[in-house]
Amino acid sequence: MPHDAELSEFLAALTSYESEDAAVRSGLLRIAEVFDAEIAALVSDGAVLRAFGFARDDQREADVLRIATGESSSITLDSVGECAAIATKVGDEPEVRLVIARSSGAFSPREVTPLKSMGRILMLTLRLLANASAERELREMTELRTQEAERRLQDQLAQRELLESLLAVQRLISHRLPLQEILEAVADEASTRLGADAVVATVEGVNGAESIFVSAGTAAGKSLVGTPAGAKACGLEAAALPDAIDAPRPLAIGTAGSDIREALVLSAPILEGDRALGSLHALWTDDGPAETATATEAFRAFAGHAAMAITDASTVNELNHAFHDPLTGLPNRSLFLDRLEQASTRARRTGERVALLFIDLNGFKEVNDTLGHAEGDQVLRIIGGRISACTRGHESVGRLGGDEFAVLLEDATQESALEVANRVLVTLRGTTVALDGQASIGASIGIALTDNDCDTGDELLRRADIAMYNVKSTGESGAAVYRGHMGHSRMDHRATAAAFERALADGQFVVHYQPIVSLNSRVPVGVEALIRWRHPDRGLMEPAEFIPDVERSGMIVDVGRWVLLEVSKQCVRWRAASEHTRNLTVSVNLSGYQVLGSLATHLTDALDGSGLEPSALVLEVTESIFLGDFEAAGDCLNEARSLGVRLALDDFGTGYSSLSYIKRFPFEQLKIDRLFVRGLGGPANGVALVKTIVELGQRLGMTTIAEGIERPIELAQLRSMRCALGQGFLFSHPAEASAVTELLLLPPPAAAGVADVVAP
Amino acid sequence: MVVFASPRLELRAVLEGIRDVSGAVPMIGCTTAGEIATGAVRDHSVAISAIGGAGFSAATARASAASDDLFTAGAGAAQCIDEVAGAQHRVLLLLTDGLAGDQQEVVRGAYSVVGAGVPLVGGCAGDDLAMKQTLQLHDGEVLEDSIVAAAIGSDAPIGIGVRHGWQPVGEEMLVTESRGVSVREIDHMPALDVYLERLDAPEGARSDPAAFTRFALTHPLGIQRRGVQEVRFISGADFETRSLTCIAEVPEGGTAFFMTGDRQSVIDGTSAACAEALEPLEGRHPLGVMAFDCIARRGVLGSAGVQDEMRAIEALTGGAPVVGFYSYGEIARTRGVRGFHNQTLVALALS
Repeated sequence: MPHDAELSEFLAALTSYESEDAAVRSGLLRIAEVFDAEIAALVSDGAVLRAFGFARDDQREADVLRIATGESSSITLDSVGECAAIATKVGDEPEVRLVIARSSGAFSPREVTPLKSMGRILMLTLRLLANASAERELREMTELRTQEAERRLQDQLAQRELLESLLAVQRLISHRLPLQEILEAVADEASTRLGADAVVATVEGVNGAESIFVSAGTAAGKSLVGTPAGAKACGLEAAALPDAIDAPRPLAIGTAGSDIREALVLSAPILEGDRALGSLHALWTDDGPAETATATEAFRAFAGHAAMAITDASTVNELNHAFHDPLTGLPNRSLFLDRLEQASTRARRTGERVALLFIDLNGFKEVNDTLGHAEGDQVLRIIGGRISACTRGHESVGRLGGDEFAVLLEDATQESALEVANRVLVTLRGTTVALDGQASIGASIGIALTDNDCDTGDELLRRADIAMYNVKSTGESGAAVYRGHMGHSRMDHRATAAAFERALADGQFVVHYQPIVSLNSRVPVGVEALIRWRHPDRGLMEPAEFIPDVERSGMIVDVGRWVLLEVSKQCVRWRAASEHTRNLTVSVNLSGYQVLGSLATHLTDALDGSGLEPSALVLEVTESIFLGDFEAAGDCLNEARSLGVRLALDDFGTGYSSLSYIKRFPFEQLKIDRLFVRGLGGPANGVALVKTIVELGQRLGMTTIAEGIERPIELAQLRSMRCALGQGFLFSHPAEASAVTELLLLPPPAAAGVADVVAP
Repeated sequence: MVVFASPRLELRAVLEGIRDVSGAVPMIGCTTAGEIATGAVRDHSVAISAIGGAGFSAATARASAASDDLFTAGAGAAQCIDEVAGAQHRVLLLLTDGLAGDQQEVVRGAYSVVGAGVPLVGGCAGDDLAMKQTLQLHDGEVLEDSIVAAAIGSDAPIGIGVRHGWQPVGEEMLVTESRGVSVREIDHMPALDVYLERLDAPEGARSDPAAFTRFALTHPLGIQRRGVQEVRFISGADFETRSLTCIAEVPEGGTAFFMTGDRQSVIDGTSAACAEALEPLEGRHPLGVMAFDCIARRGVLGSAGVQDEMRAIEALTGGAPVVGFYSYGEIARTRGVRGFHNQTLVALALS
């Protein structure tokens, strides 16, 4: 996709040329640059007008013509190799096609619209320049009537104005104005340039967006078609139109009872590639445009710009998605922390205070467990919206993960922060979940403000977290501002190193396993090991509830070593048990603290102690381990790899998602977080995101594993994307080894089990 | 022969001296902002390399009055490619006048002649940062406002590497207002304020232009284009209008990010460029390496860093001769049509 900036530059550059030849050559080369192409050529009526990228003595005309006619979609160049090629029609009489080819990969359908637009701009420029040179000749031929010269001059001026109109629209796209406003500008400019009584644009709602209707023109024109109903009554709808509409068509307008008049309508589809997104209509109640061919071409350029605006708006949406939590639409952890850091930096300078509210929901786990994840998601969405509603515009709300939210307040005081916290508590109290009326959601809110010895985002987060735990320990919903002594009291109610030592010795830690299956056959090929703590008082605890404490207590190294040995032994047992579990792998989550400890020794101990084949052990790490000591983490992973153990990148896409991690370390597997998987079966954006990750994995030669597959539609879509492996409730919940054994040892399902879901 | 010479020298005498030894060998060259020759960076010196022997062919050309029409000049200088038409591997070496306008036009002109099959490489002549006039050299003549080119043909593979050595920091942003080289708004806020805040610039750089320039030297602006990141050195700030001034155009509406670099990252960039240049050699020992190194990188490296950079190059090239110069812009086109770079090191390896 070219950036709009490049389109604007392109337009500005072309209007600066004075000869057709210079404009063609610069236009083609600049188009090649924007699309990273080696070849750019203009083909007219079966002949190559101009081509770039070939050696002078071998212009490959026959090959270029084959691409222009669509007979071929690639071309092989000496010393370059095979190039993907594409052709698009940019002019009608004579038929002109633009051909480009590049070595760096195939063209996507989304590139067609901007390519066509650039081609049309090039054609308009050429026409303008042709007129200009004709004009020069005219001036020299004194015998010609002055009026004729006048008319030509007027044409030329009109063309220049048209280019300026298009440039104005380009600027609006560059400035990322709301789509509605850009389309209004398109309609407005088009009605002015074409002298139409009205111009309307109708765009269908795509990807969950609302449909848009805009109109511009004279009062008379707008009274006819200025509303969606009026336009519909006149037959000007968003319905798909044929690509080639060469002239205005007559149309009867007005309703029965009023005057029915003949008008002229010119329509053009708004296309993205071959897909019609909507249409643009111009209406004349008098004689129609002065010159039909010019008007039609100009009108199509406006429609092209409308398409660009729509394409661009959806691109911006996608960009936003990368930094927003797909579930609630709130800033995700990385964006929120970035904003927090910036606010703290600003506060250091201005002396104003920043407050951070750390909100942890109470009772959410019950909702999830009882009602399922889909219902849980719905609750999170509602709560995210309610928390946002409690804050004013300049305050920023983020979802830090799970059931944790945070609010950032600038220019805050302790009082104002408590006020917001109270608002949140009150509004949440009203959020009772329809679970036989019994489950209600509360929250523990910890508050921290910047001061002399707390002026960074990290410290704020740490303090707010401590304050939050202080509230949580009371067992009630509430809010508290951080106080110095809390740092200690917090450890009081939390498990200490001694407690974990005891738990380890008493065998309170257990490992649950969730099968990882081949998505095509549903046959288990591995298991992910998940630690649980069978707490004597609190029951079975999930890792999120105690691992942070284990890490802080320093016991993570010992607990991690135990897990490695335990799962290795279990895996050996399974591999020995049956022919089809012979190659079973076991995946273990690695904590950042383990990575910095003596991981290699522990791995060797586990492998030697169990006799497990190293390649059967997969270490899952998240991107967060690189945030500390990058080099040390890297060394440690490389060392693990050299032992023959395999590496998987976990939770890809939820954190920093820097490709540099993937490229620098020998990861063999890429795990797609459940957040993304849950976006499947919904709007196209969610699907595209997963597809991008799967393709990324494939390109880098990594196996992709989708997590949290719960619905058949998710499985079907993942299969169609050729995602190899997956795990989730659809196949099996995590369970103790004995419970999983049966599932693993079952003979592979025959064909009957495979075809239960049909890809759409 | 390729000659890189200090602008302070009496160049006609230098060329005479060279010709006394070499005779009428085809020769191109230019003035510099520092000369590089195996193991050392010098000022006020001459660095000469001779390319030839079995398996090599070469031809040179020049185009004058380049600033009148850079495209045509680029195309004119590229004509010499025909004289090495039979060679299995070819490259066109261009030495241009970076003060004469948009050098991508030169690249376009040369590309229109040689096509996609011949890579372009080279740099813009320097004048020890005086920014007044650079000179080009061709077959014993001293030229101004010119482009000189050498077409080199070889039986063995030729490698080209390009790297800048800067890393993006923070989120991507939008350039919401810019005019040419002046960036006025980023994300709808005054560009200078966004720059200072996001990078948490030191107090001095917030009011003192000299301190700002020092800070900006290691914190350029990056702009994203399809498949490539381009680096824009920020040369100054307007504390009144809160805008940033860059040394090359920054398009409005484009995606941008701030970048940071230090000695080490610049040297890492150098190593990566050399490694990239050596890759197509498929294990053959390089006969020689030519480096076109941006003058702004020299500023970041300082005199000690420059020595480290040379050592980094030698560590990879295994004792092969290295020659090059500090330039006002670098040329490297191996893919697509874009080939003019800023803030980069371009390495050419022959085998």
